[in-house]
Amino acid sequence: MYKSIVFILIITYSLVSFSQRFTISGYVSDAKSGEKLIGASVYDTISKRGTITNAYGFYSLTLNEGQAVLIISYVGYTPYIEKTSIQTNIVKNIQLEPTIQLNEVVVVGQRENRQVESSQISVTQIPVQTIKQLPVFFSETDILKTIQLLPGVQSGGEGTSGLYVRGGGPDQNLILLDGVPVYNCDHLFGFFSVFNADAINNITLIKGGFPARYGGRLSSVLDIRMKEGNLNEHHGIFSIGLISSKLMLEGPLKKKKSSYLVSARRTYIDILAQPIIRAAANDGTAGYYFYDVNSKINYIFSDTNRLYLSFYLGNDKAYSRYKDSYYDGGNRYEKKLKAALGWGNIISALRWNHLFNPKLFSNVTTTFSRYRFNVGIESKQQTNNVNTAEYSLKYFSGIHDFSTLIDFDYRPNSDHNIMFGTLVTYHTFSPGINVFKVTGTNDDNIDTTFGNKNIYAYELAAFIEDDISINALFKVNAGFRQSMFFVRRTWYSKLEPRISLRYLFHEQWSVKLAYSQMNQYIHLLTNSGIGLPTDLWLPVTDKIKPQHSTQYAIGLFTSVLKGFEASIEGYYKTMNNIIEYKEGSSFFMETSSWEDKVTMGKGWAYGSEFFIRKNKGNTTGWIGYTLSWSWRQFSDLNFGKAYPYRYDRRHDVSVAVTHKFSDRTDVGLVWVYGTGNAISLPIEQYPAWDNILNQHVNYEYYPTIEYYDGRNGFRMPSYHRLDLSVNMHKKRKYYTRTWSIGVYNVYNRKNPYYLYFKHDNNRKRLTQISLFPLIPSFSYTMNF
Amino acid sequence: MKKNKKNTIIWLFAIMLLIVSFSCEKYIDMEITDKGRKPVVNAILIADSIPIVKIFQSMHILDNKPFKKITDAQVRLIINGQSKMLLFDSLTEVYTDTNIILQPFSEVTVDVQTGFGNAKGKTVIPVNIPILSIDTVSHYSNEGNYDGVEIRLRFSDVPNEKNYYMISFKSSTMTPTFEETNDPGFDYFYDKVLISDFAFDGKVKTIKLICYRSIDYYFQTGTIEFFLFHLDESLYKYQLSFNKQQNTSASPFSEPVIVFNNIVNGYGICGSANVSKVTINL
Repeated sequence: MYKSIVFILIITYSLVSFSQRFTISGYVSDAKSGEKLIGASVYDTISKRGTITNAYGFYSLTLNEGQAVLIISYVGYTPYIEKTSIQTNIVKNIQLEPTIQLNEVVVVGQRENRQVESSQISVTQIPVQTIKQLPVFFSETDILKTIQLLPGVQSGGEGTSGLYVRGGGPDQNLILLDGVPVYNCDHLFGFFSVFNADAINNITLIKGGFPARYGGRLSSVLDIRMKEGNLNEHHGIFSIGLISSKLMLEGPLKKKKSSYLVSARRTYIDILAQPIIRAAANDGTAGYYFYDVNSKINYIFSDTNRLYLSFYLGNDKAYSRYKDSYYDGGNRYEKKLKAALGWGNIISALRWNHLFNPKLFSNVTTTFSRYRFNVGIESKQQTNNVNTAEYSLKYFSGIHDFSTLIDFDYRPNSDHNIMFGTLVTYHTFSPGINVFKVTGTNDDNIDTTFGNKNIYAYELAAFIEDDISINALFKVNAGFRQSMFFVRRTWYSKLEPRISLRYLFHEQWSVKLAYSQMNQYIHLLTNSGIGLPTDLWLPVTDKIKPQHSTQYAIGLFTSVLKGFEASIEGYYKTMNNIIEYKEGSSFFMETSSWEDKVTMGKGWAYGSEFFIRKNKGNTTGWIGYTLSWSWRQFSDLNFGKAYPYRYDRRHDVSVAVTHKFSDRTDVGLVWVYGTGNAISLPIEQYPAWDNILNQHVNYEYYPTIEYYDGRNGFRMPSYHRLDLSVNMHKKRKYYTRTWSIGVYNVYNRKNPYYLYFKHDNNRKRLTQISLFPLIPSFSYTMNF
Repeated sequence: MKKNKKNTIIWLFAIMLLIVSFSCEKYIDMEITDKGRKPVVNAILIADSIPIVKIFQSMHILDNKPFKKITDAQVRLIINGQSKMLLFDSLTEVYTDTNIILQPFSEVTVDVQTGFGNAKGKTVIPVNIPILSIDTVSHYSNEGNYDGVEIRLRFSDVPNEKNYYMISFKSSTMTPTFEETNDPGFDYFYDKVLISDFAFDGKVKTIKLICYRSIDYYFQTGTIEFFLFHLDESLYKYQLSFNKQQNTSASPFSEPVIVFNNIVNGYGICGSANVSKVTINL
């Protein structure tokens, strides 16, 4: 038996080795900018074999010796057709011309039939240009808010950037910027995201059927790739909006060899509002701002070696300062008070692309990611400029990672695309350190540090996956990922099998199935409905186990309507070892460790998603509808009974459409509808007794305590909103200018933000508070 | 001209801020479950005092009338295993027994039977922690003028154990205010501060208050009584969570605070305290 298997393998290998097959490989890029095109199609019409470019624009297609007619295409670009004779391995770098000139409305996206043909399910790519054309909140283009418009993805509260994918929590999304995890994607308490669309090249969202190369989170992968910078010419974009301004510059450092990209953004609410704040606070000042900077350099050493260095820095800061002084008895007394709240990310990645041979492409990536939150208050008293008393309390929390990833993309022939690699990450968790200092008072001077000590952990993973074309009808993406986590002498190891199957039963129809297991070794500890920067990232411990999910997905895909692609998907997902605060626990009960404040439980979610999208023509966009359920169950919460997740949303509809009237004018429309969020409301009330000093007094009035029976048993009213925008472009001598005018919540819908009880004419009534009424906005952009 | 332009920008910005800050409010109708009434037992037992227990009936959340006091309940006190009935005093409308004086370290169970359900709770009376001293110092305003008195209250924490305190005051003519710090384990409310000793275990702690001279009482003298309550853990959690619920009930940023409840089959608190008192004349 053993000999037979060896013999068959030798014969097979010989046949493969000795047949006259050659590989054509290279990069596909934009002819104007040199920017790599991710997901471009390379197809031979004679053999009917094809492939697509990877995340670095690289392709490799192995064909039999003879003639080939190659069509290289990408939506928004003129297809490149070449008849060639294949007698040897060929390296062919191809540059595609945009069908519409840059600086105008460019419709870029996927190949028309890509969704139907691909083996992957639950994957969506969003063209950056579409994001820029859609209406925006406060004139700020926001990638995450556009992602929220896709089926299966829900937003948190009004105007916030949090993502809740297929019933999962906001911590269960692996958000990658150039392959580096981003731990906090929020600016301004979640009203804006950290991603600056001017610096972004490609966005891919995966909600299910996860390929083995991704791991570490349960619910989704959002893979955001930055632009590399123009290799041929210097260009820039300057934009001024209602609350912020942006500048992006790109160009060659050495023509066709090396390029740079720098993009920066800053809000100026604090600067504009300063006169008002100063008028309101006599001796003090206060403000808030955020800024971020993206940069990237890439250097092409040769056809086989490229180096990329990318960097992101973003910070939010809220501050207040107060100073007061007076003279008494010839002495000058001064009191200073400072308070500040800040949070931010630093991300960097150094990546080396190496082509071993036309079939084997590799990447070595080292990354650093840091998220830090700090809050502090400091007061000083001085007499004649000498410190007499000092008080300070500072709190830090955060996480930082060093990581190395080595991955390979091996395409032995057009029927296999094998990806394998390994990842090691060194995590440092800072779960909340307090530094408390008092000097110069009558008490003993205090200088102490307390809180939870840093926790160090290693996360390792190895993966292999193969995208196999079994025949013209069946295609499979199968693989597994071995993940491991080591923390405080506790070792976790899990095998995560993944498989997706496509059956192309008609040229324009396919059905797909997927099964995936995911593990997550870090938890986000949060007790609020919005993304507060105080939320803590914490590792698994010997008490707190890794989160684990299993997801089944099935989908029907079609491109039968010309210019449209449509799909309907169903999913069922289970999640184990998810955490929540115990009832009554909160940040203010500081005496116990965080592990004692939380409880572990399970969740499950199921639903179906309908999606129809048009990528070509003057009118583009999509309509999405989700019908879903999401449940949670914890033995310590809600008396052990299952309850709906806060973001369980039965119906969710989104419409996102852009229309180009002419080269000078285009418009965008967004309409969303969602079932109201699940909330906890009290059902009973009883009198408190807080006045220990007057126990004998017979009060007529007692303060009231509200009793909650069951979590999230009530629904807020439904949410819906219409946003409109118009972009007007005009070519000037040296630049193209764009005026963007938008209106958020056009029909001024009073959407629920939160509910409370209000006393009105001796009646107690439930009252709704809404946040954003109709809000107009505008921005001016120069594209040069 | 330039100044006008700048002013226009500032005004435009202010108007935009106003629009954004503007919140809309409306009434909505929603059906809220009614699961029936339960006994409310409020028993805060003070060392070296007689026991006092108040019994009420809970109400549906949308009811908007005074709470119903229960006058015909059977209230039994079990002190270190010995059972005694409390009687209803119609004058003060509490259940009490003037022959019982509660002692530190006593384990006390309150057992209540009413026509709509039975409930009970348990506590251990804490030991007395004395106020070490109360000092007064003249206080000057920011302009350097004398405008009141700074009061410093000192007490010593018992080392190597978890202790909880509440400091409060009573005066008919003066209203001191706590000089709030951000010390960990300190939670300030309008007329009290709740303290957990984890950050100053076994040390002497000083709490500062300022007593301003108001116009009405400028020429009057008066007294202020200061109280240091040594609380049991249940009463500390009840006080803290209740005051937090009062403070955060309208906050959209957090899950509702659930008030600590140690009454089995009912609502309320069975907690205890030992109080030290010092009176000063100003």
